[in-house]
Amino acid sequence: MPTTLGYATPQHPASTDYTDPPTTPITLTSFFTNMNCLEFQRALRIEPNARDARLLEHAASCAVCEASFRRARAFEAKLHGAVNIEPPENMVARVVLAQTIENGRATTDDADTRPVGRRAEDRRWWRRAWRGRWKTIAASVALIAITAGIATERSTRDSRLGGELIDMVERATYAMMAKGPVLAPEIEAALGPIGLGMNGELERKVRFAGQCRLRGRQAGHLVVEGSRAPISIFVMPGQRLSGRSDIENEHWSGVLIPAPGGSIAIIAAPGEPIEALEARLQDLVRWQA
Amino acid sequence: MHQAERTFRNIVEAYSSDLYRYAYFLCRDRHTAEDLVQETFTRAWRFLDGLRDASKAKSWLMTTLRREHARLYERYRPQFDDLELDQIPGAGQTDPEVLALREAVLALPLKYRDAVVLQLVGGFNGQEIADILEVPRATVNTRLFRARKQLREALDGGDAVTQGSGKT
Repeated sequence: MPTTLGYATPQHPASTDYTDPPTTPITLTSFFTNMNCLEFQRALRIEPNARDARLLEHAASCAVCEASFRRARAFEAKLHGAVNIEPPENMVARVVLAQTIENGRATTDDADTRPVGRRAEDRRWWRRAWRGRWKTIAASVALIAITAGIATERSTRDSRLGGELIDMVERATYAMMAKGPVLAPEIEAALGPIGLGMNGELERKVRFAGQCRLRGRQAGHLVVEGSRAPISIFVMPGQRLSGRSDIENEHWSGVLIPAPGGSIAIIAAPGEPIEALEARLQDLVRWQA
Repeated sequence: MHQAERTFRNIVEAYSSDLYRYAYFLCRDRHTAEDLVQETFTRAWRFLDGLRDASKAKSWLMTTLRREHARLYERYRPQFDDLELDQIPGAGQTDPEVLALREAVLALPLKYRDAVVLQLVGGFNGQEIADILEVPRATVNTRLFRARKQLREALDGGDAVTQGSGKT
């Protein structure tokens, strides 16, 4: 037992039942170099994993403290296990998505919100094909232009609808951040007043059910859980489409689908599989007269 | 993806798990914990440039989350029922001692819980914890000391460090 200056310890500090930080006796040698047993035991209760050379040296030099050291390290391992809880699934995606919505990152460039399909490369190909042939194809061009103009106008209207829906998703943070679950009666209560209903339940957890205004008409808005981030579903009575089309920009992808009483839109994070949801919605949505 | 968004996503991926763990042990509610994490990262977005230094990012985030939690408590003191062990999210943990310790950590007084979770989850040393908690280093030492003492007592009714030790 080292000679102490101050007081003598009748027993090893490891066996002392400490209350608050005890007075530290100073030995002749520890004053200059080594940690003593009391200091060691105290340090073990404060920062047992500290990479303190003095701590490690003392553990190597005192059998009793070395045993305490091993027990403390084992206890720390259990403590680390105790606080190592699993974060919620997809929390990263939700955090990033919420910030994306907060930033209002719908692009100002209309080209980014157009459905994929009509590209600059296509237009250049047509110009090359017609060069030098204008007499031969003039009559056909007139007929094609009239027909195409009608289809283009509808397609453009659909693509603008896609952009408006993305805007709606990004503005409706209250809906996207809702936790749910929303049960069938609440869904009926949200959709019923606008002539909609569901013939059964979606397999996905519904987090939000409500209405929104789109192009002068009330539409049903549901948010369901996706594998990466919430998925928005818009059920739009009376909203006619020229055909099925994709919706896509840097942050979102989805689909616009014609339906008996109007149209349905599904908007999700890029890469989210929505084919099964699309098929299910076409079966489930009830369009009342 | 713009550079800022890429940086933000990297920060979220790097720190969100530990932030959630800290938040959970502060507020003891999963949903509130996620809200706190969300709010913290919303603030982080505004100070993104300051978080590019990895050595500062984690302590900044933990400090911000702690302040958000304190603000939450100023407005509302939620009443929590005692959590059953199987309601506490685990990482497939089956060791009964670890589960008991988890419950014991949750039962610690907030000031002890705060310090010991920062140490365990954040990996911060005593001075870093003192900076986050804005208290003297000696106060942090006392809180860590008492926290461990209570945790050992909760686990086995004694001081694991002294068990089997010596003697006169």
